[in-house]
Amino acid sequence: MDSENLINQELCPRSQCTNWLNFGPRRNSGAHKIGLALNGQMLLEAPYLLNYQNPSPQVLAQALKEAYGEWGVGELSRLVFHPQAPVLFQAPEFMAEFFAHPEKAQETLEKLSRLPLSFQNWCDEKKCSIQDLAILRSLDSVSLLTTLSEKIASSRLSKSQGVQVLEWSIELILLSHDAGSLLLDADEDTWLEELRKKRYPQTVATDEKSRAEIERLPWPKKTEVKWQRRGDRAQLELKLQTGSPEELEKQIEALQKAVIQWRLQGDSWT
Amino acid sequence: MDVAPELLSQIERIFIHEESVESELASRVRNVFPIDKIEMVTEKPFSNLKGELTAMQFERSKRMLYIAPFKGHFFKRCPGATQKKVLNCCNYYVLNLGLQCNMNCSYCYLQSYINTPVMTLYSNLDQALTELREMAELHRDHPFRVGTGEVIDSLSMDDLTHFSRHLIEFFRDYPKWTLEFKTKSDKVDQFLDLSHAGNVVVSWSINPAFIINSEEHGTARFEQRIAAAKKCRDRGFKVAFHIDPLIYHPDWQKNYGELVDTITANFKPQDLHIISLGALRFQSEQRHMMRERFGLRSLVTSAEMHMSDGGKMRYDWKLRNEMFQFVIQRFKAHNSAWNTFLCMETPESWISSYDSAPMKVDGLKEMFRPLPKIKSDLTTTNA
Repeated sequence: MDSENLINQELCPRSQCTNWLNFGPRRNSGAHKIGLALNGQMLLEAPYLLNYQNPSPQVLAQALKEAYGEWGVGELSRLVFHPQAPVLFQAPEFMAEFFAHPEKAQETLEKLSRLPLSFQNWCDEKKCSIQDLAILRSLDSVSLLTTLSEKIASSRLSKSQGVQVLEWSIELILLSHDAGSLLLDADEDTWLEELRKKRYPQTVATDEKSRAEIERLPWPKKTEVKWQRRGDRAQLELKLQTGSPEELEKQIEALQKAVIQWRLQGDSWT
Repeated sequence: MDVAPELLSQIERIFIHEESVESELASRVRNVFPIDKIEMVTEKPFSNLKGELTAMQFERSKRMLYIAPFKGHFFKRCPGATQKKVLNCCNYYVLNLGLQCNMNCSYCYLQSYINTPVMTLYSNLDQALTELREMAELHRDHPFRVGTGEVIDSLSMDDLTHFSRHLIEFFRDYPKWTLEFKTKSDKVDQFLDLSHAGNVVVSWSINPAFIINSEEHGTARFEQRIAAAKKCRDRGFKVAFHIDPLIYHPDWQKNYGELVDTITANFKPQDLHIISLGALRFQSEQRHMMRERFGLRSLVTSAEMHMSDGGKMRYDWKLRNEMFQFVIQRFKAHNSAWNTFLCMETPESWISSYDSAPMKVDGLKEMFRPLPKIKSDLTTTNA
């Protein structure tokens, strides 16, 4: 039986539902409840009804998708790990209808279901993928993340910034940093930068030292220099303005002096 | 030679595919493992699992052994060959005789590369040799290098498989071809009695004892690897060391310095076929699996890694080059005849370390010279 047949049958009146799984609030619509009846029927939000006694996990998942539209990871975590949810929801075959890597997804959703509703909603608003939240699997218990995740949810961090804050913070917790020390009362950019300094102390220190040394070099006039990190390389970005061949010649001479001094400073990373 | 007790106790369950029942490998397995650990199967175990393995499933895969025939091409180009835009390639071919490793290094790239719920050993070595013979007959005079340690350690289970014996005998007929075993074990006794054509390289991935103890779990210890290498050298086998991955840690200069000193004290430059260097690197997605399996107490997971041009996470470019330079200079300080080369590194790193591209470095020119494409180039692996 396909999901379309299942969900259009009038099997169970709403009044016979003995239990309601509330997984709301929802991102896309107000429909946020599933009713379960003792006779093994499931009332999806009107007008859908589903007999879930014997459907395959795949059919059940398809029916849920049709009845409720697109699922956010937060919504799904609340449904799948609802204390009264049918065990069928945690079957790998059910998960496989939503995720390419169902076993990993299930572990991630379980952790997410234990985090505050505000963070789950943030994940759904930002359309976080299950992969964005893979870092959650690194912790045995996510209880230390309650305040942090609430702070992410109430911040103005973009999705990628929020995911980065989460990853760096969890790594720092695993490196024995106190979770409380990672919550800065500062703007979002400062928060990110402070976490980066803690997670990449040597890189940040080396880059800062190089930046200071570069800025002290005798650059010619009308030159802008920046020490920039891009991935595994930190390098000099140099912008030069010139108005005539004579001026350029003088600038090149001055640049050569800067190069000589730069060489003298050495080039050790450690 | 007996199978190591560690391997016998590590393997909790063995599945033998019905098509492999009559194979030499299955016969050896039945002889050494208790019968209650062995199960005959008609399909791959855990085949209901979909998607990538979880950390727990990956752990379990190292305790489950599956004996089955391989159904594809055995012979493939090294993954480095598929990234020629960003890496220098040394014409290496791989012959995969199994999948998954029984050892447990924190940085192992198999954590992002394979997705098998069981450790697999292929029972149809005869077919692999037939395939290899077809290639070898066509290109008998070209110096192809063939390694067996890409997705499984070449020797860590060789006391069980004895694949090495068949391969060494096969390569006797093709003296211009080179066979390379790559291992972190010390299991060499099972083939030392064989005569060979001088074209077999036994190579060790090696690191200082400090790194082996903290990151290379279940492998032979530093002294054991050196001792095994000496045994091979003494039996006329070529020996190679891959100092890879170089792992940064506070005492890295002291520890890598001592590693170089130990190699140079125990071997002469002419004893060693190759010394290659590589720095820690991994696919970005691999960080999740490593973190889940080893936490952040590992020098690998806690390292300051950055996205590089080729899409892999690497140390800062200057740090990498500083480490390469240190090791190269340490070798040269002992004797200028020591030659090293960089594995899976960018042209920029080559030039920074050697002032030259590999094609122009004496002793390496031959290795990096492009060879004719062979039929199985179409089936490159996709690391």
